[in-house]
Amino acid sequence: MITNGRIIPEEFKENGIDKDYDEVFELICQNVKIPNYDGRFVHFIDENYVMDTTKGYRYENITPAYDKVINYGLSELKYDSTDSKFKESYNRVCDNLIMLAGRIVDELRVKDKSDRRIEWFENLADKPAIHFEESIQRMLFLNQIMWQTDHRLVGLGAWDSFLFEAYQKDMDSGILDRDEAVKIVEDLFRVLHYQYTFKSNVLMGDTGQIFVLGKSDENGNYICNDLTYIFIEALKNVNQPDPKCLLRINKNTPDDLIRLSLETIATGIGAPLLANDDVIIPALLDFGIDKTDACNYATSACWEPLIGGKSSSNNNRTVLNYCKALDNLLKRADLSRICNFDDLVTEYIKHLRLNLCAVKRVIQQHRFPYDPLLSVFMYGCYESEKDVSWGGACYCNTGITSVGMGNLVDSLYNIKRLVFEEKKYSLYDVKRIIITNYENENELARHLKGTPSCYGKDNPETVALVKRITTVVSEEIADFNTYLGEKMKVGLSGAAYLDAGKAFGATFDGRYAGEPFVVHISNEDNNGYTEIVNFASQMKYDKGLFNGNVLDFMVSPDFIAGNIDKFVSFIKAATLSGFFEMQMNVVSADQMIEARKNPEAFPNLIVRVWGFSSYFNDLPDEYKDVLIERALKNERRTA
Amino acid sequence: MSEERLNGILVTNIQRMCFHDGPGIRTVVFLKGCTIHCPWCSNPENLSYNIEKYEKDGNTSYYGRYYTEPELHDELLKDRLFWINDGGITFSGGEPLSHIPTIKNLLKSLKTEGIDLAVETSLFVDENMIDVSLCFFDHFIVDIKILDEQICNRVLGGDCSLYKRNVKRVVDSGKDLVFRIPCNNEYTLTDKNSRSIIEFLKQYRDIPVQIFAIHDLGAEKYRSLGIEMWRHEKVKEKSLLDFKDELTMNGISTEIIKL
Repeated sequence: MITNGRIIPEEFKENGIDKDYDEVFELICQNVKIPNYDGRFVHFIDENYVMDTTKGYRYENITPAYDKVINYGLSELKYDSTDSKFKESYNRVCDNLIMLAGRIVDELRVKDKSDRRIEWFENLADKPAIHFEESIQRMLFLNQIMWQTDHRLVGLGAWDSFLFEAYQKDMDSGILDRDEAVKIVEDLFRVLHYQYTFKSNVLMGDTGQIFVLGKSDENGNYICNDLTYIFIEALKNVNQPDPKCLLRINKNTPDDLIRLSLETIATGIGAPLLANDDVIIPALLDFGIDKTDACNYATSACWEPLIGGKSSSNNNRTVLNYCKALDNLLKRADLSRICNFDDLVTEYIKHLRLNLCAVKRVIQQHRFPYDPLLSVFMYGCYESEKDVSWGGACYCNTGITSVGMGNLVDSLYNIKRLVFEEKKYSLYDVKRIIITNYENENELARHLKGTPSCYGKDNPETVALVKRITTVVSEEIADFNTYLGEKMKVGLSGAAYLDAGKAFGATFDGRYAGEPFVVHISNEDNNGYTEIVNFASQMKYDKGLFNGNVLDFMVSPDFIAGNIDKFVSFIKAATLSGFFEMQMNVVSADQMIEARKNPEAFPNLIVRVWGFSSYFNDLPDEYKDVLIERALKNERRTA
Repeated sequence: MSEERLNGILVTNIQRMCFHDGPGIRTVVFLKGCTIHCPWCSNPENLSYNIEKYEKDGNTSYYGRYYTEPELHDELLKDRLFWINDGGITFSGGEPLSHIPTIKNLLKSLKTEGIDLAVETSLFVDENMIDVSLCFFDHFIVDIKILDEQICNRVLGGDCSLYKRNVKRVVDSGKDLVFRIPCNNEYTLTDKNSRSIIEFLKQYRDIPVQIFAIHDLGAEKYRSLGIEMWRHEKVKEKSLLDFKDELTMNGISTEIIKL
């Protein structure tokens, strides 16, 4: 049977009805094809034998507890008795994983009895991992089974922390040196990049495979180790868009680590994304996350903070479109009663609250499937004896992303100027113009498009306006609970700036119907990156407003590489200033224009999209166009 | 004359996060009005001391805006956090030192607050302006252009001997100083002028020199003002390298920069 372009094995059903989870999981462990794998690690996904979770809301954008698979043998994770359905499923998952590990041992033995990986897979049943490579192999084993069971966008998390003990032990005993460790991590990157097409979600490169490196302790000290550097070095050396890295930083991050990250970013691979612990951790604490957990946060596929191995939070449940409430206002409100800018904003907020009620109603309906595998590798489930779908994980809150704030702010300011100050148009004219998609008003559209954007400017008025709007959002989500009784969070960035734009009418910032929304927190009209950093640093991120708030810069290639010392100072100051997250697209408009014309001449051109990197050639044309337009604006040029 | 004009500071642009205009990360403020008129000027909007109307894409706009002193002070300090170890404000133009009377109080208050101040200048200004500027600026980025008295006067409209005296004044003050040479084949890199530059610099061997090829980045601004841009030959990279070698051979520390 083929569902959504995928083959679903017949044996996953009985009389046309899906078999239950335990049976399907067992079939997978029994039957997945184990390929001949000559590389350093065994890692495979049998793409023709993937569990089918396409009928409901599946768990995706989740980072399982990789530390569990290093620190325990699989049998050590089991319950002693199985006096409930959940415990039975849970133990069956462990047993079936042991069976799959045994199958891999048999395959390896057939080929070469002295293969050292045989011992690694034998130990997986009942012993903790001992060595560096062995630990990586175990984490890869968990990673592949997550993909095999149709968890998409499988996060990776803090592997520099998880692996450090084994790395140190091997280094101390002389069986590993640093150069070899770099090669091992490079191989790890290559292995994870394998089956890139299968792993990609909506766009090529959108795999969710993100390492989250470095961290802060509870006293604000910065914690990193050799492996933090090695992972970033390997990322730079391998030079591929996937997997990607996020580097957590704080005010105490060593300069040489920031420098290494910037050198890596300057190669154009779009990573690491930088996340500011000094802002994110307080926001997590405010949300009710335990302090130790907050200090150990990871992120969903792109940038939404969650607690790796402890959060079954789905952070991309839906998209809040900030322009929707203004659209509703113009089409439905009594415009004659709106006499000034303050009236307009007040009325907007009324419609935004209604819009958020609709979002909450939608999310309230979401239910997640029974998932014993994820429960085994999610702290809280064993202890509470509950599946993740019943609220077993330590945290199971929900998150939404947003689009359109930049377009909204510019639209509001354009109305302020043209309607209330210059009185060139009435609100009824604005309504007509957006409904008719600038019919006979192309000159106005061109003028509005050419007006420098206000969003991201650090003037007090713009900052106050955006904060007023996001405060309303935090008030509205404060009373929301998921079906599991947990809270909701929202962020100022979102991947849907193009797709949401396609389905949306014109906006009063010169954007025609169907055109993309502004990308995350960005403004190519900015007066230096410092301006938008200052803007972002004045935003509120507590009260649930921390579900990813990414500053997104276009940077011309020479700009970082030629000024690395000054860029290090910039990042350090920006951290003190209080930005939330930051990513950079280091590519010139000319390169992309050329690559659009002659793709074959640029097979390895990598760009940053949403929260991941991708080969430029793999992107749909409309994404290429958005990037080119932004780069041209950043370079103060026009198409 | 309006009060705004009497007391205001005429600014065309404030550019934040600049990397090439002094130490660290800098905010550069461009003051409108210049004492000379270089044919290759890339900021033609900064030549006149008056606000100028221009048209771009069918929209009318203006080059130049008067700021009150407190207003400009607050605007310039927006990036203060980014100047932790070094960095600060650079005054550029136009000729910023010709604006000393209107910016003197601003400079005083910025200095009192410990802000690092730099100036990009051609030094074609009265000597008393130099004396005042030495009280406030920590760094001087000084252009070297045409050193022949007559050609300098004819092409730039500047007094070369005044320039040379001012250079000496700044050098003698011991202030941090960098020379910057805009290179073009027509005037600054001619055999005669480049020899003069080298001779001139021999007396200031301790001072670093930056050279760069002039560019056409001001083309759009010329168009908007309805002024025809000076046509020039493209400066070859080899010419820059040769000039750098010559300077270096004469003991003058030189780097090629891109602006």
